[in-house]
Amino acid sequence: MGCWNWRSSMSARLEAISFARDMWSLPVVQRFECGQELWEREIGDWLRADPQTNFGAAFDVSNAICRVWLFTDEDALVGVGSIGPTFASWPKPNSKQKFPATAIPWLAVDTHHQRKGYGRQILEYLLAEASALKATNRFVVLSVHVGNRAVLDWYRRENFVEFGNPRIDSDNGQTYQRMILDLKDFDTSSLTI
Amino acid sequence: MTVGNYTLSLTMSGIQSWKIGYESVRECYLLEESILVGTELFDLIAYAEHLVRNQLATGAGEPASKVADLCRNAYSAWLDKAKQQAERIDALERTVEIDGSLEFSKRVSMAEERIESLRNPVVPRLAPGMKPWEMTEEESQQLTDLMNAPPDSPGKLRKMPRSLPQGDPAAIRKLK
Repeated sequence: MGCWNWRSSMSARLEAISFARDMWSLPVVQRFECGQELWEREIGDWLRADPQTNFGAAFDVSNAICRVWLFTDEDALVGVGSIGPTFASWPKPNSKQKFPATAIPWLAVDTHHQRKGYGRQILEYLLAEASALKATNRFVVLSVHVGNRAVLDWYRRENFVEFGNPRIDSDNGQTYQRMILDLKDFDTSSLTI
Repeated sequence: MTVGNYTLSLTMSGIQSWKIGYESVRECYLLEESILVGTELFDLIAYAEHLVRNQLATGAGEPASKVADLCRNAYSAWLDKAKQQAERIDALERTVEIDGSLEFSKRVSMAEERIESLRNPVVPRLAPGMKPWEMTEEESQQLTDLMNAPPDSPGKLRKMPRSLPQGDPAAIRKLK
């Protein structure tokens, strides 16, 4: 899932701030907007939601469902991103065996800061966090609304591939395409620091 | 005789007090064993409740409307027995000190609180990308192909992802 426009340009380096339960009510968080499409509104609603409901960033961090970060550039909230565990029964349907993966459930850039290359910085940060878990969770998965063609293309350029057929989400009735990235084969041994 | 009677009376009284003391100590030991088991049993019930809630919160378990009732029944059954022991502790602690009684009475208060505050766990509404799913044969094959594909193929991480510096949480609280 994700929403931003990219027109790669030189952008300042963001800072990542771990999202705490009480941050949902901060004015800067309550003003966060990433667009008016359904999938864009959903991310804003999730970030701003009161933790008393069963949906929202504050609910998710207080129940250890996923880790959430806010991304800032000096004095502005630029974006939000998260990772969390998910799984599929594998290798056969209905198998008791679980195939664990790291999901990127939410990633968005505020409308005032789109087209500056911030989305890529946030994605890289989330992949770096996911890479720390790759011994057990080798794959990163995410779901993109099928109407969100621009972001589907963007993930393809980031080397994600479509995984299986689009599926209808049981909560909102919308159709999403799952995408996947294998973290394992990137060889770090040749890198010099 | 008077003197003898007096002596005998003293001895009987001594035996009586020794007997009472012995029974108190025996009862105390039995009670200590019993409350130790009770404390551990409470912790086990609380841990089971925690596991069930954790499973539901992460989407690994099926939503169950009976969770609160089941937990309440377990805590109530425990509390019924625990209150009987608590009365015995109160009576005995007028004369002797009972190991573990403080921990036990904490559990009694915790059980009362849990029974009062138990609610069915909130089932989270997960993002579409986080929901567990059943993999199809096609997806399974695709995954195998991806695992066996050479580096740099589509679907493989191409470069080391760059992390970002950590910001100060206090700073975002100050943003207008």
